[in-house]
Amino acid sequence: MPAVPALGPIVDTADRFALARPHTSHTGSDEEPSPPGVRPFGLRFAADPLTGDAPLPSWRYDPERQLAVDPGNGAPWYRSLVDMTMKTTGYSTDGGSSTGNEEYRPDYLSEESA
Amino acid sequence: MTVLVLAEECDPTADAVVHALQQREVPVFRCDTSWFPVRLSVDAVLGETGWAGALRTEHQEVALSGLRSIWYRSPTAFVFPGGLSGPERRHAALEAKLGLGGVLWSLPVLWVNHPAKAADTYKPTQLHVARRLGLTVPRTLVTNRPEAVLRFAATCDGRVVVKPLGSASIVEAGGRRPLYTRPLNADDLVDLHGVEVTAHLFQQRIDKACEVRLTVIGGRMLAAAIHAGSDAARADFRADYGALTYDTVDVPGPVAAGLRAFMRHFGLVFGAFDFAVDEAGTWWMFECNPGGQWAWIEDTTGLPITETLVDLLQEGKP
Repeated sequence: MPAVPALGPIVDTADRFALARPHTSHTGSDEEPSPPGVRPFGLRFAADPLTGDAPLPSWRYDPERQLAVDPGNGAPWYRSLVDMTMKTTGYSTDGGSSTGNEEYRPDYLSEESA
Repeated sequence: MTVLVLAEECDPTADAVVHALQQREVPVFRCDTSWFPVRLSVDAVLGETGWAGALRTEHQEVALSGLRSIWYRSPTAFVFPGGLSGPERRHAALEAKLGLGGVLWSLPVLWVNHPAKAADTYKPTQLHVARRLGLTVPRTLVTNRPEAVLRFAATCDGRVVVKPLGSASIVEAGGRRPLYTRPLNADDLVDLHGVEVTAHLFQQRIDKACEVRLTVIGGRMLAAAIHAGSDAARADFRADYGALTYDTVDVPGPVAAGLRAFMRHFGLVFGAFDFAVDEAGTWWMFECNPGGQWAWIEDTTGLPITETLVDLLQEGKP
């Protein structure tokens, strides 16, 4: 196996301990796409906006058990997502049609709005 | 010895891992960086052997010296008390990052993955390293020059795709619009306006027999073949989940060797790789996501991805 020379860091200090936007407070942009010729070519093929994702079941964080639970019966919340399949969890943190978390996310400051 | 899980509260994948660790009676300290400084505190003193101190919440406490591993799942931005001005918040955020992050960074424990190492895996860098390590990657062009696209397409007999380098979607006009891999036809190549606006990634189009989501955890490789039942899914499986079927698949020896070298090169212990497999059986590597998801494919294939990750966090060494 050939050796590959080590590369130096290619991201800045903040991105080397990147902190994500909380997906429960997801905010988007209402800005409209730019006209052709201005808009990046790769965005020309953006798919239609995602629709139809089911809302997340209600949950509360249990600080003693250190996981989210069903507010009604106290059962681990993630299991209710498995029951309804992981693909229906919208902007969830696991897979699904939204692809919401499977992407490069630069560092985020909580004061940012978009 | 405790496993530190850095994840936000609403994270079912983190919940599953925390629950599995607890069922094995492995101590866990879970927190989110958004809790700092209001709900999470740190005090650390630099001694002869490193940083000594503790992380504390209202409900939990863990000694830094008592950690065996850290799962950097997807912690979120610090939240500061109200009343700070914008410049003050930015100052506080950087101080928090360099302080809390720097102390954690220096602990001699297993990171899954270390954020700095994961941050260095830009897609063109991945492809460069993968190719040098013997993995097969598609012919690739990064450019903002339309004429370069035409030259590249000619070398690929016109069979090229465009795909994003980073974000898999864009939020605009009030909605999230996915950016799937898009095969380009001759009409698309007639008008390349917009290429010049930013960097674009073009690749040779691979005729796929199937795709593979291959999750590498420590020394283990868990591979699921993804079979597409529609044209949209053949171009990008994320475009049509309803048309997919899955099964498990063995990883060819040379591919496994290349992946092990890739993981060593980047210092990763977790990686979700996307491959295409063509009719000749060649595995074409597209990318590695060091923070990739897995529950959706574990659920359909039975691959023990969660348990394998829990093994790694519990053992505290790759």
